[in-house]
Amino acid sequence: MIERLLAKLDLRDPLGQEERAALSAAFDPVATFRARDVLTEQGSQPGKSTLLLNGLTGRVTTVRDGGQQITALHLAGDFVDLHSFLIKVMDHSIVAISDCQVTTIRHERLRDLTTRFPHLARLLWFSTLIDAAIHRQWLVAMGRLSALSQTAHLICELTVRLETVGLALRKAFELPISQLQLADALGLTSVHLNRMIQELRSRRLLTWSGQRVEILDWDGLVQLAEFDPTYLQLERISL
Amino acid sequence: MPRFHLHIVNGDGYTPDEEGQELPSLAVARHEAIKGARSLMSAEVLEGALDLRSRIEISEAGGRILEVVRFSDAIVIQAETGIVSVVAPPGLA
Repeated sequence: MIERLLAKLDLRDPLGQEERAALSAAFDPVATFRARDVLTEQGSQPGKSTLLLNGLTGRVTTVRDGGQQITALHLAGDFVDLHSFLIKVMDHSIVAISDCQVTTIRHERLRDLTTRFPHLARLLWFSTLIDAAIHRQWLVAMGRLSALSQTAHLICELTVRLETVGLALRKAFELPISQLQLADALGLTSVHLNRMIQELRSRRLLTWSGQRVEILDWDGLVQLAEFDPTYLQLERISL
Repeated sequence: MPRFHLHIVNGDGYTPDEEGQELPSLAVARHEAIKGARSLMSAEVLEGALDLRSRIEISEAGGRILEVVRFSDAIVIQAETGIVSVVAPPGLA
């Protein structure tokens, strides 16, 4: 059930047999959500953390005029709110962007696991550091790149992240997100984003039809985006 | 809710809004088109060249155009002598 999470952890620092078995056994049964469902409400105090098994979810903060900023997009295998284990009160909501399946792990089990397996605890800590690194890159892209480069940057990042869980073969993948939601993730209007996607298409960098994205010119896209995947920490390390 | 499409017509040509979005009314769609026009203009201003001849066409799902929002109608411009053509001084172009 949690193969994609294990694949991501193994990519950085493989889990031992005992750690793997204990982590796999700690999760609750699968739950299904529909697009637009709220998994975790802003202001709530969840007693468990959510692991996304398939589909797409986002961290969403709503402002007074009803506008929304999506501050993170989560893909299959991502621990959506591992930080709620320690943070307690959620400062944002977790919303299903597409239909999705999740499993949860109760916080007392996380406490027990991280006490018994310090190496696993470091790996989970490490995964929240990658979340933070992604936030930093989004901030840089939003503040200092053109809308076109920022859009390209997000596409590069999603391509690489989907590749690490086997969901982007030959730089092509499903992205079950509306243009409006993608605009909310980029801090653009949907009109502006539509223009940017059209520009990426007309430069022959990618095709985008429905929810299917295919990168035609990876090097060109990377150059436009000033994309350097260092922040995604894809190298093997020893924690 | 009905689905509205906000197509862009500007110096780059025609950018159709294939996906569209569900909005409660044409009034809200108009508001979204104005916001969109202003955001495109903001990006143009940052690049140093604003084209006020652009427009956004609002259509219903079937393709029929319901309304056109001209960029020039989406902002108020104050200048000494109407619309001024500014040539950037050397070094700022």
